[in-house]
Amino acid sequence: MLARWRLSRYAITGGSMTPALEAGDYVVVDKLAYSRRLPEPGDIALARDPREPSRVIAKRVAALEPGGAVVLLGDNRNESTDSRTFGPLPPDALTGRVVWRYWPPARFGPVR
Amino acid sequence: MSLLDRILRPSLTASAHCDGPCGVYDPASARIAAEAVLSMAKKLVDLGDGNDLATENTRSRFIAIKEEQAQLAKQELLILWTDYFKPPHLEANPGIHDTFWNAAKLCSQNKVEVNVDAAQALVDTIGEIHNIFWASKSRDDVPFYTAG
Repeated sequence: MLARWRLSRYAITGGSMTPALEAGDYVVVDKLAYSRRLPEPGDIALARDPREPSRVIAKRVAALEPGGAVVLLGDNRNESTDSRTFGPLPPDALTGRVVWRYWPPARFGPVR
Repeated sequence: MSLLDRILRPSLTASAHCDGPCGVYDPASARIAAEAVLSMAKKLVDLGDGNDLATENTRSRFIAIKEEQAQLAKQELLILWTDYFKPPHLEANPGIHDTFWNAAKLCSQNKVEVNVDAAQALVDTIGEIHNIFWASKSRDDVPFYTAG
């Protein structure tokens, strides 16, 4: 139902974005964020996994290369597969920006 | 699943993952194989030099298990070394490569020889790797169990 809307909800799996995102967090994603502006370092973005496009990954934008390619890194570098492995991604691989956590209640609030 | 969870749970998932799903790596598998090597080395020494058929058969079986478990220990160590450990770990622990190389060499030595000291050294080196591994996960509460 929300598919045509601007916002989507996602459940987070895996620990590569600890402590900003923990496995089991439920978040709200702005799917149109990058149709209005470029990704900025510090954003937590969703992207299609370049090696398995059906999988959506959540990583932090670390840098924008001169050609516009986006370097994504997990905050928890020891347990993350990211641009260190699969290289920078074209900007159109990014499918949204994580903006808000609504679960668990103790950590309800904007995602930074 | 509670009603609340059914309402709140998103239908989509975003993976903040690492390729080895977190939790698959554990030095315990190498430790168990190394303990079997140590056990077989001790049993071979205790078995003595008898050449009767039954003793020869038992000796062959002990040797086969020692060979197989030393190979398994090496394989488990190589997976940890090459798949789990990443450059940030190496910065924190510059000795990682030496420790793993030493452990892998001890696996080979235990295949070539019947040597209780070398088998004990293999278990001890895997104990060092156990400590490095769990320290990399900020855990200091995981004991290094041994059967011996």
